[in-house]
Amino acid sequence: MEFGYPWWLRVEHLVNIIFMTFLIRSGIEILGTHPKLYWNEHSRPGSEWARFTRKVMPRDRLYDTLDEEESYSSIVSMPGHKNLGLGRHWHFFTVIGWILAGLVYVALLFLTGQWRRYVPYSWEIFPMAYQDVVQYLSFELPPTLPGQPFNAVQKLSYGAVIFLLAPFQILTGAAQSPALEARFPWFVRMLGGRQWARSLHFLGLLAFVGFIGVHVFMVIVHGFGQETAKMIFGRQTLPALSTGITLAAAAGLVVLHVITTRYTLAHPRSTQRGLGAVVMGVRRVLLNPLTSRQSYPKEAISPEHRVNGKPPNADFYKIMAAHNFAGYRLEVGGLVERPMSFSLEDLRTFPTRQTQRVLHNCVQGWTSIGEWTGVPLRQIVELVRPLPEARYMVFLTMQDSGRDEPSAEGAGQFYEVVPLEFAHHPQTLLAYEMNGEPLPIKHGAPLRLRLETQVGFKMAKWIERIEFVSDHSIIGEGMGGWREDNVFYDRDVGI
Amino acid sequence: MGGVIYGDNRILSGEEKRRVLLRVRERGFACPACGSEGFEVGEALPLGFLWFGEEPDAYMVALTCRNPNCPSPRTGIRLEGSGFLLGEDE
Repeated sequence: MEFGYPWWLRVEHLVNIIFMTFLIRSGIEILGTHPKLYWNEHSRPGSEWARFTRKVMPRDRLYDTLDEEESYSSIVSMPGHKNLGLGRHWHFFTVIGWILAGLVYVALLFLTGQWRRYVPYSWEIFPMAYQDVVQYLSFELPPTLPGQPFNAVQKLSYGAVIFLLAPFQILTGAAQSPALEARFPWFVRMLGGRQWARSLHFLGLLAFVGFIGVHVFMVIVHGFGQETAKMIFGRQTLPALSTGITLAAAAGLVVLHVITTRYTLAHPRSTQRGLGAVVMGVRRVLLNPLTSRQSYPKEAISPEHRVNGKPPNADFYKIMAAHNFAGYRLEVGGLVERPMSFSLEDLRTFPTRQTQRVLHNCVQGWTSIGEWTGVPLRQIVELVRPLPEARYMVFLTMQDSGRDEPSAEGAGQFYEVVPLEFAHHPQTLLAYEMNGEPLPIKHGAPLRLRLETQVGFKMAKWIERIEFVSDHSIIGEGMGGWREDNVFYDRDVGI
Repeated sequence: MGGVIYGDNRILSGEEKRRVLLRVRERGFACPACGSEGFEVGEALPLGFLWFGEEPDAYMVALTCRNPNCPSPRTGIRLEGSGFLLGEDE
């Protein structure tokens, strides 16, 4: 068959460049929020195999993972300057576009027979590819395969990137979704674990960056004008014009990045709303229905569970803690038939006492495994009987982020909004114990939420009140939680 | 709370509780709710590690007002550990 460079292949090439560059920069933004990589699920400090920070954490004071965040330049990260929430929006928005474009591309490859340009027919291609590499190292250009557009090493490289590396990145990215992990624990185990998936995802990023670098270099080596002409005009023609168009397109890509980055930093709320509308819609359909089915063995529990968020820095809380939370009351009200108030003793003597050993996924990327014991939230819901118009639960805490958390940007009472349907998930828990002991202060004593299909920030700690509401748009900034309001995180965070 | 003691808290010996009461009297500390000066001493919560802005040796010591009519008997006093804790060899 005549391979050539059909128009759809050239369009896909251009679209792919745009998506890939946004994915790489936003991925680096996400990495910067916990700039350490591990081969173990505990993310134990000091056990990282790679670190991209020089920060040294104190030993004599509680520090949390917010303190470990790095602020990277916008030149390498999207949007840069320690904006995890906005980086996540861009990463998930562009990955949706990238996957859709990729599916169309692969479908067209197979419908048109163009897949043959990438998929080897015979094992002989491997020694031929080796010969090609030797020839390149001898400063000679290897010939293309008979009747094909590429030489052997090109064919193998492009085929590997399209059919191996791209799916590998999708799989290792998806394996970092707490909703997928919770519903299909075997999937993340197959990759070696959650931190293996994160580390492999990073190595996949390096492979992509390496491929792009070598690819561009080879385009130059083979003849920049002629090679770029193939991707512009579909054939080797008008090399000077194609060089000009390519350089103009590259400049346009840089301008696109500069404009979107500046807009994102200047208008974070509209970025959050705009990109979030797309991302949230996909998540609601794909991830929200998933329920947690985790049960890690006792020996898997992390020796030291990592911490995020600092406890309420107020005397009323410290006095209550010194009294072993004897005066604590959980208030439950709002749109319910029976507003109620519970002491810790009430909660401890509930008919059901549920224990679960699960993987905790922080939005920053670290994980730890813990055993949590408490009351299934659905039992509280059954007691208070939400009114038909109730759609969300608002978890109000004793933490005031401006007062308690110097590393957080923003102030005010910490709260998180959770869809009412999550209360009925089997592992949604109001936890008062951790690893068989009363819940430690740094992990949310006396009561915290466990929502195993979501990332950690939704699992409010130091809870004092649960309010059932029909709408959350008039609470705070109306985005669905303190982090959504103040640092532009996304809501319903199943990934 | 049915005798549940949180791992963050330190259980005090009889002598340590006596020292706490001495510090309470020295400071003239009275119950914020009823003004009573009689207290039962409970556990001590180390503050220095968990909270920034607290001195490394600071503790919040649980005090329960002895006045049976006190509307809010649970209170606490912030003390330096060196002022009431016994050393390993004491």
